[in-house]
Amino acid sequence: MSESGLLPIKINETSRTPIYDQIESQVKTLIMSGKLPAGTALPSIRKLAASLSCSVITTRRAYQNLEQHGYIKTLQGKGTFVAEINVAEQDEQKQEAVAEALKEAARLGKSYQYSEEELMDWFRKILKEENESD
Amino acid sequence: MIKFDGVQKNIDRDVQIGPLDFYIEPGTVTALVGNNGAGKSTLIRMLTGMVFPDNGTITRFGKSIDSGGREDEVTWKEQIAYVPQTSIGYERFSLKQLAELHEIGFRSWDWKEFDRLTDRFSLPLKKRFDSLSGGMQKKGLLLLALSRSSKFLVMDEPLSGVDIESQEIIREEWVSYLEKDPERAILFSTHIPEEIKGFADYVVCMKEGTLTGRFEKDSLQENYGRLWVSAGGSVSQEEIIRNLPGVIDVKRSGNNCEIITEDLEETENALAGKNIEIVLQQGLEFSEILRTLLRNREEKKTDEFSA
Repeated sequence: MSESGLLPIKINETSRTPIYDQIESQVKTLIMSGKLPAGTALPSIRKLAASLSCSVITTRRAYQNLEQHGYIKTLQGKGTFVAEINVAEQDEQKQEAVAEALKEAARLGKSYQYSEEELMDWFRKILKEENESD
Repeated sequence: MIKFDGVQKNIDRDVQIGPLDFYIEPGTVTALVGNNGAGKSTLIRMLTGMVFPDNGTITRFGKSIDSGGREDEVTWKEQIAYVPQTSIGYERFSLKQLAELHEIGFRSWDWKEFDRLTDRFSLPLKKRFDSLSGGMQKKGLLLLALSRSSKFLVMDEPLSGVDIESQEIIREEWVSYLEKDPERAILFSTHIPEEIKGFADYVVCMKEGTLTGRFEKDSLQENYGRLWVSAGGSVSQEEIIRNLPGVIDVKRSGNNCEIITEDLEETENALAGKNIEIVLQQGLEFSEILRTLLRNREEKKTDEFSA
């Protein structure tokens, strides 16, 4: 069995997004951004659960969803690994990830009753700051 | 792999444990919680065969044993590794001597594993057990349990008195215990919310001798929540909110109400149905959820019946 490190994942416990969902989307992002290249060994569901203080029911569910969508592969008796992903799908996934983050920001902004203009100004300002810091 | 059906034990005239219905699935970690005297240790002692139930059936690895039955004890005792709360009976022996006794008692005793673990926990082999600190004794008991092959690791407050560094090592050992065999499971009792948060899959609550619930840890965190609403300024309004589905506690402050719910979605829908605006919504700390579980469940039930 190959040794696998832990994943740079952070769980937000007060978020409305279920924990398995948070794990799934963060692993997806790690794979899509190339931080976890194909063939990388992933921690077992138990190890991941222990490191994130969640249950194996949650990590199993996240891995099952990731496997169903072709991001990871479980080899019987060997462990779980990052799968090969095709480029077209990769683009689609990137767009989806960004859209999801923007949606979350929009939801939060609206829940605090900021106007559309205020939110747009804010977004432009953040973009500018990010560009400057690059 | 483990199942209790209507298991009962009379401790004395005033204290009765059970009837308990309870099960453990392979591959899982279950935390047993409850206030002092709730019956956790009795449950564990019945499970591990240290005491026999007065009524009911305990099934272990597919073999059921009725109250009083002692058949087949040798087979299943080999499969259960038990870490008791205290080391009563071990006082006069050294760790080495205890290991030699375990070698006689258990077919799967593994000296290599014993050496590895004594090294990892840096425990003295030749000192009398009662001359060791409480935390070291705890580590010693765990070491003895882990130095043989088993399917089910049962521990009564395994981390109490253990230093932080060793707790980390112990957690790693638990993970590798489970990883070596998917058919294995762990049950432990505790009073420390962080231990449950950090390691359990399921939480089983005990109160005054009976089991009051079994919960998946993460769904607790998803379902419990705190809501502030801009209503409930009057006693009658507060009463309406108190009776909404999921609501387990309401605190009034000025024109607002702070609600604790065990079913966030249900309560939110009910509030929307009554046109009550939610000002803020927040998750609960795990320790807060546990306190609520241990305190409120029964009272809540009686509320429902009288309502």
